[in-house]
Amino acid sequence: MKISMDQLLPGEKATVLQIYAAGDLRQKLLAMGLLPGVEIELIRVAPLGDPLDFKLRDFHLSMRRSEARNIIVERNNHHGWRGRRKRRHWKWQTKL
Amino acid sequence: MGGEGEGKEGIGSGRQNYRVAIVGNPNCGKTTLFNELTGARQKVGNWPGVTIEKKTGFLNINHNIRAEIIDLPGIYSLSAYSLDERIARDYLLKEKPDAIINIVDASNLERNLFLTTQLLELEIPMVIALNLMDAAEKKNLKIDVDILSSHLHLPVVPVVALKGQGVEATVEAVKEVILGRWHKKNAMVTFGADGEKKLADVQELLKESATRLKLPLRWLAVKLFEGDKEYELLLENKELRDRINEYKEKVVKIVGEDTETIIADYRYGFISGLVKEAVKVTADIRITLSEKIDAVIASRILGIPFFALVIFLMFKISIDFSQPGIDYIDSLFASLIDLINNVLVNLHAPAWISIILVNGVIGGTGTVITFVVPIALVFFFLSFLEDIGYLSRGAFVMDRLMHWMGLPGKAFIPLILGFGCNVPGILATRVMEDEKDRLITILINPFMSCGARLPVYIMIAGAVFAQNVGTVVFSLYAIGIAMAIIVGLVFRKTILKGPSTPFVMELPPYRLPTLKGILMHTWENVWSFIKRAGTLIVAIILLLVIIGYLPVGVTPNSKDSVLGKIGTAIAPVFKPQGFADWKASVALFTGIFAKEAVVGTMAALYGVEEKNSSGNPETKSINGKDTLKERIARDFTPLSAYSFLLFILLYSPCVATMGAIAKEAGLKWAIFSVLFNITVAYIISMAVFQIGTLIQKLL
Repeated sequence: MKISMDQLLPGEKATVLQIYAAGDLRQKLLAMGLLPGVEIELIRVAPLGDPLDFKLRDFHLSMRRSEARNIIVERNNHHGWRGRRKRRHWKWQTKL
Repeated sequence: MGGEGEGKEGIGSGRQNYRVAIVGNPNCGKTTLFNELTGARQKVGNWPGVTIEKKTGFLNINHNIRAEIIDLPGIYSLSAYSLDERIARDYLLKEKPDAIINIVDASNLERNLFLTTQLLELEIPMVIALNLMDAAEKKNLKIDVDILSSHLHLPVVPVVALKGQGVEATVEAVKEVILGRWHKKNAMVTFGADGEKKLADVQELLKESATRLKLPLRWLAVKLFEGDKEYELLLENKELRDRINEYKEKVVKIVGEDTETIIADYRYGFISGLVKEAVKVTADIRITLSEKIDAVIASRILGIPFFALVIFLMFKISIDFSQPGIDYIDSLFASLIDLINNVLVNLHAPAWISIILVNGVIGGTGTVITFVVPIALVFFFLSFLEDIGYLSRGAFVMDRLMHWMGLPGKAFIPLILGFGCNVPGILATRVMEDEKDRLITILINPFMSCGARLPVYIMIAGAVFAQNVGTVVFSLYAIGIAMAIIVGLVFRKTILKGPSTPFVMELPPYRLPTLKGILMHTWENVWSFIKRAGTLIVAIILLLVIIGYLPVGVTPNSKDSVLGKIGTAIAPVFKPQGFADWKASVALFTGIFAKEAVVGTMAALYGVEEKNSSGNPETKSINGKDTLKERIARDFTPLSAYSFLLFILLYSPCVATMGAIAKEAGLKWAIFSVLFNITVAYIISMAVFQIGTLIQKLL
C-alpha cells in the first residue's frame, strides 16, 4: 500500500517510490541518497510530534512532516500486536 | 591566528606556491584535518559578500613547496541551490585550485562518496582523505583502500584526523598530485549506454561554450542535463538551450524519471558497486552507541527535559561563573584608570585629555573586555555541543516550537542566551545556516530581556510598585518574549519574506571532540568580536563620554552638560508616555551605553551618592535606599513608571549589542535595529500610558 513517508510509525521500514518535491528540497533529498528504491526506517518522532528521524544508507536524516509528506513509500515490514497498539496510540496523539 | 597575513607568492624564498582546497560533507572532520594540516598558521575571513567564514592556512610540504590550504564550507553536493554549495562550486571552478583534498567519512561511505562523484568531474587533481577510520572499524566495516583507489583512479589515504594519524601520508599524496606524478585521470561515473550517447551529443554541442566559460566539458554537460539553473543562464544561445532540452525530454520519456533523479541514481549506483567491492562488513551491529544515546536523550519523554538541562547549565555557567571574571576585569580597569589619571594629573595634562583617554578609550575598552568572559564561555559550550553532535539534536527537539514562529529549531539557543546577554546571543546565531532565518533571530534577540536590564526593573519597580515587584518584572520578561514572537512573525511576512527553508538535517553520530579544536573555535569567535564589534563599541562610548563632560567646567552628566541639555531637549518627546522628565531622558540616553547604566545615571541624577557608575542596586539599598526610592516614587505614577519600564525593555539595543549586530548582519541592519526598536518602544509605551490614563479617568 502506498503511503506518504510521514505516515510511517517508529520502527517501520519502507521503500521509497516517488518524490514529489521540487527545487532545493528535491536536490537536497537526492544528494542525501533519498532516491526511489532506497529503504528507509522511521526511528523516532521528536517530542512535540515533529520533525521525524529517519535512517537510510546507514545514517540518520531528520525532516519535518511537511517535507516527508512529499515522499511516497511502501511499507516493508509488517508489524504485529505491538505495532497495532502503537498505531492506535499514535492516532490518539495526532488528534490532539 | 588572525595575524598571518602574508601574500600568496613566497616572498623572496624561491618557493613554489600551490593552492589546495579541502572539500567534504559537514560533520566528517574537515575542520580537524584542516587544523592538523595548518597548525596555528590560519587566517579567518569571510567569503566575498557573505557572512560565511572563509578559513585559509599554510602548509609547508617541503622547503621548496608551500601550499595554501582553503577550507571550503561543508556540503553534500555541488548544486547551485544553497549558498555554501555555490561558494564551494565557484571557488573550485573559477579559482581552480591546484588540488582538492576530498575528506570522506569512512563510517558513512555511501553518502560521502556522492560528493566525490561530482568532484571527479571537475578534472582537478584530487586526493581522498578517508577520515574516521576508527569509527568505521567500530562499526565493523573493513575498508579496502586499494580497491577504492584503483576504482576512483585517485590516491586514497586512511586518516584518523583526531589522532593525527595519516596526516603526513595525506601531505605526501597531495605533493604527488600537485607535482603531476599521479598519472591516472580521474574516474567518472557513466550514465548507461543510452545516456552516454546522449551526453556525447550534448558535449559536442557545448564544446565552444565550455571553452568560453572555462568549465570542464563533461561537468557542464551533466549539469545542464540535470537542469542546473545557473549554467542555463550562462548559455548565450537560446537555440542551444532548446536543443539540450530536447535531449532531456527524450531521456525523460524513455526512463520515466526526471534527469536530476536519473543522474543521482547513476551516481549512487556507481557508489553501491564500489562500496560492495571495497567494504566488508565483519559483524552486523544493529544499534550503534549513538542510537542508544538518542533513544534516551532525544526521546519523546526525555528529549525536552534533557535539552532544558543542557541549556540551563550553559546559561548558568556562562552568565554566573563569568561574574567573578567580569568583576576582576572591572577592578583591573578601575585601578588602571586611577593610575593613568594620577599620571596625567602629575603631568598637568589638560582635563579633556584625561576624559577622552581615560573615561572614553580605556573605559570603553574595559566594557568590551568584560564581555569577553561570557562570550568565551558561551562559545566554549556551543563549540563543544556542536562538535559532540548535540546541537543538531537540540534543533531536532525544539524545531516544532520554533517552526511555529517561522524559525528553525536552531534559533532557540541564541534566543535563550539573549536572556543572559544579547551579545553572545547574537553571536550564537552563527550556528544557523539560512541567512534570513539568522537575520530574524538576530533582530528579535534584543527583545529578550537581558541580565543588565534586571537591576533597572528592580530599582524602578521597587520604588513604585512596593508589593508587586515580582509580578511587574515577570510581566516585562513575558512582554519581551511576546514582542520577539510578534516581530519575528511580522519580519518573516514582510521585509524578510521567504519560504521557511526546508528542514532536512543530518543527525550525525555523537563524537568525542578535541579540546584543541574547541579552544581554537572559541578563540576565533572571541577575537573577531574584539576586532569588529569592539571598535564600534569604544567609538560610541567615547562619543557619549565627551558630550557628558562638555561644556568644560560643568558637573559631568548634569543638567548643564551637553548630555543634560540633550535630555532636556528630548524630554518633551516622552510626554505621551508619561515620563517627560529630563532625568529620565538622560538615563535612557546613557542606557544606550549599557542597560545597567540607567541605574547609575538615575542614582546620580537623583542626587544619591554612589560609588561606581556600573550601578549595583544592592550597594545602594544599604546606603540611601529610602531617599532614592522616595525621590523616584515622587516623579513617577505607577502608570508612568510601567510605561518607562516598557520603554527600557524595548528601546534601542545597547552599544555592545549594536556592535554585535553590525558584525553579524552589517551596519545597515544595526542602524535599522536601533531605529526600529526605538519606534516600537515609543508606540507601545505610549499606547499603554494613554489607554491606562483613559481607563483611570473612566473609573
